[in-house]
Amino acid sequence: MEEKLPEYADVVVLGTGLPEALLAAACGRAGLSVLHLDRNQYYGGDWSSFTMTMIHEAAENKDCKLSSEEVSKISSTFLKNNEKLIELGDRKVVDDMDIKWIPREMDEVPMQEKLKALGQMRKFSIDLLPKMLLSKGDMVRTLCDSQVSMYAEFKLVDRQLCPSECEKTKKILLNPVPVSKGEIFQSEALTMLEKRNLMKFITFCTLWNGKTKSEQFIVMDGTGDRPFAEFLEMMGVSKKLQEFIIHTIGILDSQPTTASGMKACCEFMNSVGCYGPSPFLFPIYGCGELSQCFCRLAAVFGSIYCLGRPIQALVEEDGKIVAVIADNQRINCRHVIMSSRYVPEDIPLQSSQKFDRIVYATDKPLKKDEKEAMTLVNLAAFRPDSEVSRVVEAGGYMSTAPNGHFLVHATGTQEGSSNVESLVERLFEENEISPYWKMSFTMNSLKFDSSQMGGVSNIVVAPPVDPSIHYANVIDEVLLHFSFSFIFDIF
Amino acid sequence: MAALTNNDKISYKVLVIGDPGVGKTSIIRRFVHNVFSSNYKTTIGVDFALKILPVDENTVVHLQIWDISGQDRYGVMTRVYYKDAHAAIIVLDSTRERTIEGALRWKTDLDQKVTLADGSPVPAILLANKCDIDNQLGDDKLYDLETNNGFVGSFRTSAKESVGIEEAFKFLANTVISTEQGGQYDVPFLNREGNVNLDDNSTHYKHDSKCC
Repeated sequence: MEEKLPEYADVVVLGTGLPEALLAAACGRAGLSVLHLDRNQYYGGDWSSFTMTMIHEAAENKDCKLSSEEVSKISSTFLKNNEKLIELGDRKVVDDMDIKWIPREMDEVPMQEKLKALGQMRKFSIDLLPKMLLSKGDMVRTLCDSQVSMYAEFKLVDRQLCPSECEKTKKILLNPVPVSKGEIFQSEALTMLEKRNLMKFITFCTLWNGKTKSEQFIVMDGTGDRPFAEFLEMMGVSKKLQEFIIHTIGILDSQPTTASGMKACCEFMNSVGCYGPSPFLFPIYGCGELSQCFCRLAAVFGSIYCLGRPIQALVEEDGKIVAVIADNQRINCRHVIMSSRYVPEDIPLQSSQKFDRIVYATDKPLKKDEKEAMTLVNLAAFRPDSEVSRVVEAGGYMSTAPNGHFLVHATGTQEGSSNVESLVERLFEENEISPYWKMSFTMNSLKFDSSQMGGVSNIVVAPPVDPSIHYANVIDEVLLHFSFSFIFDIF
Repeated sequence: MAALTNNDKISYKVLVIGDPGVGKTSIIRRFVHNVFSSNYKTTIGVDFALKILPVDENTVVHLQIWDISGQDRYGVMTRVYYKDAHAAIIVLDSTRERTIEGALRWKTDLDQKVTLADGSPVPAILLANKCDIDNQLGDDKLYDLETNNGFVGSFRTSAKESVGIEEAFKFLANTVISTEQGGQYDVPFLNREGNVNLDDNSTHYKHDSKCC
């Protein structure tokens, strides 16, 4: 079983998160030999999904730091003249992890024992970073182009809810957001007049899509950087409808300017009706599937995978990485791609952003409906200062939990005074939902500039985790890295 | 499940797993193309080999035979590989004792990652390959391995000499057909209610070629 690692690969990829998997697949398809490594025993790194049993194991901190004896041993064994050892980091992308089962009076048998007895612990698929795919977005296009789509399964996110506070009871009401034309006309949230105006606005957006940049510029009349609401006002959209539009697209951009708001409106409407009423898709079994799909593609194109072994250091010579030391073996290479987790400690950050992630397991949906659904709630209205505040609920319908159970994922950036956690717990309390399990952690979006890697030229740092709802940033950056670092360099 | 009639085209996914160097790819190549080469390079860019196998005069099955490419050597497979598999072939090398342990470990991994609708294991057979070379693996031992570890059958094979392979695949195909007739497989994912097939819409994207 303890098969030796290959002695050489054109590219060594460290970490099997989605961006690394995309890059590995791209390199593999470009004909490069790829060795893809991960310290973890599982695929996906900080983009992974776990069963209930696995998540408790994965949450335990393992120390990967090398002792000084190990460093000197590795140096004396593997280094040639003029070569320098660079220790790899183990940056905290997931931090302050706290997981607990919550005892409930209503359970005669504790839920943990019940699920275990029924063999249902493995029916959970708990995402570290759940995201949606816009039906006409870059990720769907990449999946189709690469034919990775045949490996993955998707369903529509069939319910979007928009919260508002009831004036009488002060409770949060969860109003369905109509997205398709049919839904808009059946909706009770808008008056007839508002509906007519909304349809007019949708037609305006369709026309907008067909305009050139300069034509759009003229229509915006210098309001491009002003808040989107002002532009809508100027277009004669009523206050209530303005709110409605901004909330709906708010899931893509919570503080839109005219330019970004129009872009979001068009993206949203473009994706609506593509595979069904909702613009969003979600992978069955959770988003962790996506990195596995791209790893499989990479493997089909000859990449070699080795998981669960120590990844120790890099070997540098004359400003280039010439080898990776992993599992006490030397792998010579021409390029190294790594997730931000592996970036050596002394490389300065370009920027970072922390965001909160809280996951609850429940056995009652946020809002009852005729059929089970996948639900997306944008809580921006209750946290106007923050960039991201959203809740995603997926259960048996998405195969991320046993039937009748749900995972409620809250994601929120940290600006402003309130946090997304208290908001979700208020929702639970008001709707008499008592979760039986809770996991909370912060995610660190650690950005590095691949051209500032301590004087080393052939390291690419894959784009980090980010709080946005979709994969646009990831795909954009991966494409950028791939074209700059490889196409020009190698060919 | 409708009765199998003439011309029924049924496609089944069969996984071929086992430790490195036991001869998985050779077995597939022997079965699919009837060739053998001792220095064989992994096929690049192909997920599976397709073999059309007549099992009786009324039934033809299409077997999608999935090799495990660059992910096998170190023992962790993606779920993608296991997903919706109908059957598995686990291969060991009769001349190397420790590939037996490997085969059993693969069996455990398989049973954890994919099951029939009722949670029981998918049919798997055990192949003791390289039986043309002298080895210590007796018939009793092989039978014990089969029965103690939940295999539905075991065969001695040689990809080099073309021994036992056709027989093994036929046996497995029949097992799969009866499992299917018993309604024991989960519905394949693209037919499940509510699932979206991304490629239904891919016509819009075809002109755009991207790097990956």
